[in-house]
Amino acid sequence: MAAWRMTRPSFGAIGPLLALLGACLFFATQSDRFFTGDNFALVLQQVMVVGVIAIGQTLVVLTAGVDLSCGMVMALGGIVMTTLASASGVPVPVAIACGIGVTALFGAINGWLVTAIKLPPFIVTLGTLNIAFAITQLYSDAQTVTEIPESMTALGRTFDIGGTSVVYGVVLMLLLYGVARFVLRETAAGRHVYAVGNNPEATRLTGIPTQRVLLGVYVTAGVCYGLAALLSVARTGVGDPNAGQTENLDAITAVVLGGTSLFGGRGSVLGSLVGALIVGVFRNGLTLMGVSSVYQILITGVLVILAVTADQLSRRGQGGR
Amino acid sequence: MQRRFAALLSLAALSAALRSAAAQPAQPIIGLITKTETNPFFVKMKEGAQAAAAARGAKLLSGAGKNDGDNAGQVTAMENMIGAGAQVILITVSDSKAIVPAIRRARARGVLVIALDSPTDPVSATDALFATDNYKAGQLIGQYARRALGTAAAQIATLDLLPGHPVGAQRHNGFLSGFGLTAPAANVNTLGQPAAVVCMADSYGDQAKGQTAMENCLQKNPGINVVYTINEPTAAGAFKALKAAGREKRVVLVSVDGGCQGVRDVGAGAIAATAQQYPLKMAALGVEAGVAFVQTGKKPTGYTDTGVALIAAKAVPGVDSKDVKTGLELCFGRK
Amino acid sequence: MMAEATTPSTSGVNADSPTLVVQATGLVKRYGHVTALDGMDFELRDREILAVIGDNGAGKSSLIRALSGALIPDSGEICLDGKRVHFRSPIDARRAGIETVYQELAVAPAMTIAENLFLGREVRRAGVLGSVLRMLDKKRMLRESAEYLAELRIGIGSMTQAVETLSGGQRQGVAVARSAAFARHVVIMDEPTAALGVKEGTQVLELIRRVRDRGLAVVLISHNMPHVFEIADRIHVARLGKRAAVLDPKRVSMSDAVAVMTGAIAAEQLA
Repeated sequence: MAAWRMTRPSFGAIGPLLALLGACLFFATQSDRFFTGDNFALVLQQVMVVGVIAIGQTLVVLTAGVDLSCGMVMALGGIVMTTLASASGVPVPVAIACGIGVTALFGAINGWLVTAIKLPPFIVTLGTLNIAFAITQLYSDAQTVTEIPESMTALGRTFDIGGTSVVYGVVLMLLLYGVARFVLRETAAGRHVYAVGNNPEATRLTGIPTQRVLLGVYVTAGVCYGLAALLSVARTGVGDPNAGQTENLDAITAVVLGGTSLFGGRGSVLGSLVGALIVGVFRNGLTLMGVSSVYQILITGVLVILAVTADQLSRRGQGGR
Repeated sequence: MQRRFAALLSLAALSAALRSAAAQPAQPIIGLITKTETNPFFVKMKEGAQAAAAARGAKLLSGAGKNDGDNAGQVTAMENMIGAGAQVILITVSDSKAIVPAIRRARARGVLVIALDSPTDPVSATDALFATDNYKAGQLIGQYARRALGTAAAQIATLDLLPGHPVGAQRHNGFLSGFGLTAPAANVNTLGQPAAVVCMADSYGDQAKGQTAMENCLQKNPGINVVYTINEPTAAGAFKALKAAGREKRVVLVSVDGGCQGVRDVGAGAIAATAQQYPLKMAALGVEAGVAFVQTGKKPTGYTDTGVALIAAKAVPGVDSKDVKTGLELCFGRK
Repeated sequence: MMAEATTPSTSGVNADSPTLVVQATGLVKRYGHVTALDGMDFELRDREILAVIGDNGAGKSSLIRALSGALIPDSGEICLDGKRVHFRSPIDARRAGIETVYQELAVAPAMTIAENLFLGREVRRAGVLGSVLRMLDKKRMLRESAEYLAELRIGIGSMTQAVETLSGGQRQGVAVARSAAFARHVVIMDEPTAALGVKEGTQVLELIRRVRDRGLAVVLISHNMPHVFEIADRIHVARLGKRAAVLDPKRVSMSDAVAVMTGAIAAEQLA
């Protein structure tokens, strides 16, 4: 559908990719272990949890909202599914469904508060962030859940591609990104998400049920967090009540680095994947170079500022704003 | 402010009057402030404090910050407890520097303040410190790792807490010292990195981050054969990464804490050895000292080592260790 | 079919009964002590351009909002093509074939012209791709957008341009084209030439004529008297919540129209 795209691709779309490629080239010169299939498969595995959370976060940000509760809701989902499967002996698929059901429920609560009670998403999710965290600690008694059935961590197993071991979870992440991109670009529902974020009043006047669109976005985001919880459990092999705490901001960072505007209506979900990869590549590359983790945090902060600035400048150049 | 001071004065006067009248002594009120409510380490500490207080007829008030690093929450808890009549404060400080002004204010009012588990900066800001000797904990596991490794050349990875944290530095440097390498002294806050340490990464005490850090270190040096971890969740994550790389049997993985999950991991062979610390003992000693202060005015001083023991499934010659069964009896967390 | 008692119509109005697309009688709307509509009547003929003028608070906005479904009158009735209608929301009015071009230009600036035209009315692909996968038929929407704009002779080359890159007049053109494309009876326009320069304003007037020529009736609110007189077939003057007069711009001067609007003279006084 090349004809459908903007006549001039915005720098916001290419910028993140350039940054990722630049980082990869740089680290390749610093360590000969960086540019290997194994290392890339490793980085993909390390970002898959944040990557899937970022899909949900992208949807919310496209509607000019933000979801500060994403990481905590994910942790709750992880604890629910692992506790049910281990202690209560619930069959694994049912336990997983329950975990995702809980995260979707939190998404529905967020969405309801935003649409029906009309509270700002920042405030709503600030509240549900704390509520989710507290419920997780209470339900798990602050203990990690360790005795998990094998099948629950199936997505953590690997398969072979040309000598490299790839984790199944990475495939799921890429599939989810493909689905998200398809829905956002090729279906009316996806266009409505962009429209609601770009001009909610105009969208309402065209007859689109904006409240339903918003509610749908938050619930879908909740489902994403549940899937991320499954990936987190598969990767670490445990249900950790303290998981997700840095993933909260990491997911928003990935979305911003990927070029999606916090003002809504602009951006691409694939950009968030690039954003998540940028953070993962830096962490991996700096460790290979022996540089302290504090520099990774510093660089991430600088990148975020650069990403937002680049997006703003490119939009001013295109005229309009 | 003034009301609280007046309350304290009247309470002190009352208890003095009661004492001089040779009547029953007033019930000592002791406040325990931990870093968080939920960490099993602090849960155990609270249990110990409650048991000791009940045994001595003292009243225990408890509180905590919201999360690791929440200084303001701890200050508020302290003020509220003193206002409620606490004569003794036992505190595991979240921020060793920021809490000091509040502690000075409390001590100026005659309240006894004892630091548990983590020292303040400066250490003399509190009346006394009951804590694990984290440097010694590191040395124990360092010695164990050296012997367990045998004659092979060491390629060490350290998965630390985060830059600048005193406890992280003490355990890390203690490990290096116990291993037989040049290491900074116990009061230094920076992490030593002799040549044998081929990878240093931060885990923030988190399991998933520990796994990521270990994976990246293995990428850098596939030949790593010794791994020091700051705590047991980090070790669990590191073990997962080692297992995925097929290296778990050729690496000596050591840790600190002695939580029940960690001791179980030692029993399962995931962790070679861990240095166990005793939060219950810290709390009990703290309550004892507090009661003694209220009843006799005697203040504890200086640093009291609450003990650390090496727990290992397989003992190595030349290093004292306890077995997993003993470790499970003494551990904190869900048994 | 003119309501004689309340509307002293002036000379020049077509004497034989033309087809009425919209007829409203006795519309009343009160907000507490404030009366927005006080028995407002309204008639719109097929294929005409009717301008609605009036001072602030005269009721012209409320009238328009009642016709477009954004306001539900307390009493009175609205007939569309002779049949009584009740609009409970703008969507009801849209379904009945009445489209509105809002003053704030209800467009999504970051989205393309084609996307904006079909917003809320997207076309799906045929067959399984459309019904099961819900895929949009982008090629068709691009083609049809180009056709709609070409029909109204709006000179924009690429349908894939973002609306925010267009000039004010072009954006207005897109909003008008959207309404004209989907309207079946009436297009309502709220201040279509406000905030436009001279050249662009003239282009939009041309556009409005072409909409009328396509077979739709157009109602427009405007403060711009020269524009009103240039384009309107009839002028509905609102005053104090009622219809003060219906004027023929060919017979009445601009100053007279303003005078009736402000109440300086009564409509009967005009020749």
